[in-house]
Amino acid sequence: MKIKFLIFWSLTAIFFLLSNTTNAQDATSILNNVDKLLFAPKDQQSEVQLILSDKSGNQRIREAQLWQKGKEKRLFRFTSPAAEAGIGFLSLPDEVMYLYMPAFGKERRIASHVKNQPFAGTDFTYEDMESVNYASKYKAELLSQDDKSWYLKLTPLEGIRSDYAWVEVYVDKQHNYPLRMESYDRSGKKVKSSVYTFVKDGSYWYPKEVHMTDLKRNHSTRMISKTIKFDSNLSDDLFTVRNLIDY
Amino acid sequence: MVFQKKRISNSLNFMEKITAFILRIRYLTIIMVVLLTVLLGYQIKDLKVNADVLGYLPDDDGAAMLFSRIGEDYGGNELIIIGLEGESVFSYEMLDIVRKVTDSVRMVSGIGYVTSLTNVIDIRGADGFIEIGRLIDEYDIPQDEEVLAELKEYAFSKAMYRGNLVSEDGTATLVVAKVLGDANRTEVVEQIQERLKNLQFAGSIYYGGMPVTLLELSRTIIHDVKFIAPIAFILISLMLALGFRSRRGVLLPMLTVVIAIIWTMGLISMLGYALTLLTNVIPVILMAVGSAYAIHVVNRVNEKMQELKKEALKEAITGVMIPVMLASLTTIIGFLSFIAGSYLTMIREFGIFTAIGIAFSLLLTLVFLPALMSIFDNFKRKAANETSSSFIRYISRFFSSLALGNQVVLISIWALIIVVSIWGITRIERRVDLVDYFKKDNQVQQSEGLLRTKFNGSMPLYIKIKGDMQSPEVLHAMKKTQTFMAQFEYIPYSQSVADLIEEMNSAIGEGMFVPDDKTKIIQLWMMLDGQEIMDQLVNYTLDEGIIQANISTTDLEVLREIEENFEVYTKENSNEIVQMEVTGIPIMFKRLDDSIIKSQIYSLVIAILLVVVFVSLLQGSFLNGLLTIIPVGVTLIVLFGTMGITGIPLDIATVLTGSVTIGIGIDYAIHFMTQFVNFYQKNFNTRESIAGAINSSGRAIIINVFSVTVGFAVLLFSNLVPLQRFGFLIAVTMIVSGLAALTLLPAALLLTSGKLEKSFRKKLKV
Repeated sequence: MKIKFLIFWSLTAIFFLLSNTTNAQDATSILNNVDKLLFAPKDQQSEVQLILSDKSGNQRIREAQLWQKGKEKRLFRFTSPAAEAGIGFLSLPDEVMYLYMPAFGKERRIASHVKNQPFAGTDFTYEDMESVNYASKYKAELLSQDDKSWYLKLTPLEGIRSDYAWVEVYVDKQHNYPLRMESYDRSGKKVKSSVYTFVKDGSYWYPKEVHMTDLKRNHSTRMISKTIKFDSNLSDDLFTVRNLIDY
Repeated sequence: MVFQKKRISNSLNFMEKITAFILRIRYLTIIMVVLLTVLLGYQIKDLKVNADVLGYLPDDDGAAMLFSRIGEDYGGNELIIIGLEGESVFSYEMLDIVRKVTDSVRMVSGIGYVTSLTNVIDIRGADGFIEIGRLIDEYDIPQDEEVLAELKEYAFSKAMYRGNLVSEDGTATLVVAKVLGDANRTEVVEQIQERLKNLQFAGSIYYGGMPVTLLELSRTIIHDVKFIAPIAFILISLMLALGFRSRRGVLLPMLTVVIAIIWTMGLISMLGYALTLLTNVIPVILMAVGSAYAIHVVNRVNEKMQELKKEALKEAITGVMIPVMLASLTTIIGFLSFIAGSYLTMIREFGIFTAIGIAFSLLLTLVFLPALMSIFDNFKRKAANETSSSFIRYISRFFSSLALGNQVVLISIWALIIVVSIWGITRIERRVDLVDYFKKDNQVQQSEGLLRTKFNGSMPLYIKIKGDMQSPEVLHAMKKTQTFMAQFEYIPYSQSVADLIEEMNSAIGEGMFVPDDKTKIIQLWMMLDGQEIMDQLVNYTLDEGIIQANISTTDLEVLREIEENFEVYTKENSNEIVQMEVTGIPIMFKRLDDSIIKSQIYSLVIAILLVVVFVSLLQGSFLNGLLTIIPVGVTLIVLFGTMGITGIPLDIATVLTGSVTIGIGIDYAIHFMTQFVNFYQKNFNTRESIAGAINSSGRAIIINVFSVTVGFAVLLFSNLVPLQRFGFLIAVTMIVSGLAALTLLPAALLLTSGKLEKSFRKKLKV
């Protein structure tokens, strides 16, 4: 009787432990799948439009060209409006980032610890603009799921600097891309939300539009990819300071 | 002649009928009064206090409009400043506290932007690097002594931090919160204080800024009134007991006053209004004015005491009804005139509710008091001379002989008093500092002291600049304006987007100036775009921005000087490219103060004129109307003269004593005049009529003067300077208007007795 009882409880405990790990593994693998989808192309170049709107509906529109190779090399250059054309941001491995302002003809390195600052008036911070593996940054936990999506809670891994205490994300079950993301601050207040519209071009899924809202500032940014080209073997020379200032 | 007499007796008959009716419905009256008192008294529990005077500036006031728009468009206007003082600001412990406080305050609804050391923008550039970030990374507050020392040195090198966020001696730092345009400022302060109550901090924490001052002001007033009102109540009762030497003489006036106050306060609450710094005074006015009505009724009943109860009541009430009605109607007119002459909604509310309160007092005196007396009072027949204390009788006899004595001397004395008072009025001061309202050990004094000595002050001043924010001309104009502001000792620091563009220009290696090339400005701008500070300094369409500064004083004289200079400057420097306008707490506070005083004085004048017309019409004689306002007019002159001589400044609080003057001064005169006319119509003997009036109404006036003066003298022990002054000035008002009614008015009557007789004979067709 006693033994039966013990066995019953041990089995129950093991079952729960197992189910928990399965759960964790699942969440992590979902996140890995998202990363896989996002970083599938070797390189990409696109023309993006940034539509910034304040609470009263006033808009500012900026346009830029974007080149990206792998995860860590990226060049972002504004093309419109005219007075801002040529302003460029070059991101290189090891958190090295350069800024170029054509009106001054000067490039400057941007200090690495300002990543929580807004990028060019948008609701994206430098941190949001980074292309980082989610799995290398966050610990994932599956909160719930339905027919179409998984609902994950992402908590920054130890040692990762982030402005957000945690992020909640809905992932499309069929294609593994994020549908929407909500970021929370330390006090547990939702501070940002972003909605993604993924489309497929050739063999790659990419976000045709990201609509990011800063709930505190009551301001939102739509980043729209107007054109996109994948795997055109971009040269490393594109991602140099010399190219940055060559405008 | 026969017809006239008939008319008079008709009207007396009419009054008698009313009195009979009042006595007939006495049970119903008492039940209704009890019910109403319970009903309205229950409403008082929801009565809110709104000390936020600035919220009462009218919607069409230019500066107020601009101020509230800044509150909405730029993430807040008024400042709530939390000062943290410890051993050293640049220590991990203290910076961590700053971060915690910043976080807590940011969560309070009604708060726009919060600026502190742990979230303030920092722009620096050197060795090919540029950094637009935070002065301190709130997620990684430095612990290393060396890093902290470096940070300190850096922070002290910049005007944006030194004196603004960190004190010169490095022991204190500020968390500055902006209140949103539509928020209830004082409630926001309460929420912040509640949140920070459990903060574990070894140093001292201070709260400063106008919202804090106003909240503290209303808290102290409420605390004070709770403590002082009962004492005043007891003292007034005691004086009434001494005056009347009967339970009736104490209970009845006090009861009507209390019920009238309960009804008025209950009504204010029921109609969804809050107690303001002005309506706060209503209980005081009702105590002074309302008790007078009952005192006159009781006095008259006492006079008829030797007669039978029912007859005594009827006669007394019939006789006193007209003067009491006249007295209260004129007072009501006086307060209603505040509506017409008022610039502020707050004054309008004050006028309406005081008028209603007085109407309540009147109703209670004429309907409830007789009902009560006819049911509960067991009338012992007394001799007439036992109905008031011998002291009061002595004084009334003294006034009688004084008034009938040497008119030349009497009038000369009054003339002298008036001349001295007018001289006093010319010396009246407007130097008002809100902070001086508090005693030295009050936390407001301490906080403001800290903010003025170690920081740049707490009163926000804004200059709105209209123009293309990215054009070099506009940015240069901003810098020029800031240089102009820096001349003033009390404006130690100002901030605009031009400063940030300069900093960016310097960070990129060009130098600390605004570039002349618009493209350069736009490119520097893009790096700042999206920063919290930008939303506080420019609007989204970039065609408007503000310069924000602090003023380190609330001295109205200094504010006046600053406002005048700025009005001229902004006008002279506005052109097609850039237009400027100035606003801010100091500007608004000065305007509020000016407008309250202006509209109060304006209303006092209107009230007096209206009363002259009203009394003239009712008594059918313009001369009577003029004579009746003599005591009020003289009391007002002496009141303001006293303020000039004693150095009590004319401000929002003290100007209100003028209202009490109107209420009291007119009443005394009306009671006296009515009695005088009563006697005069019978004997056409001015001297005898004066003696008769003093002997009857005079007693009531004397009792009223004594009770209210002593009651309000308690305010001298208040914790707040304005309440002390208020108590003192009410005492002056009571004594002067009493003296004026009992000496100056008789003297004036004697002087004009020839004309008086003619007018009366004409009126009565005798």
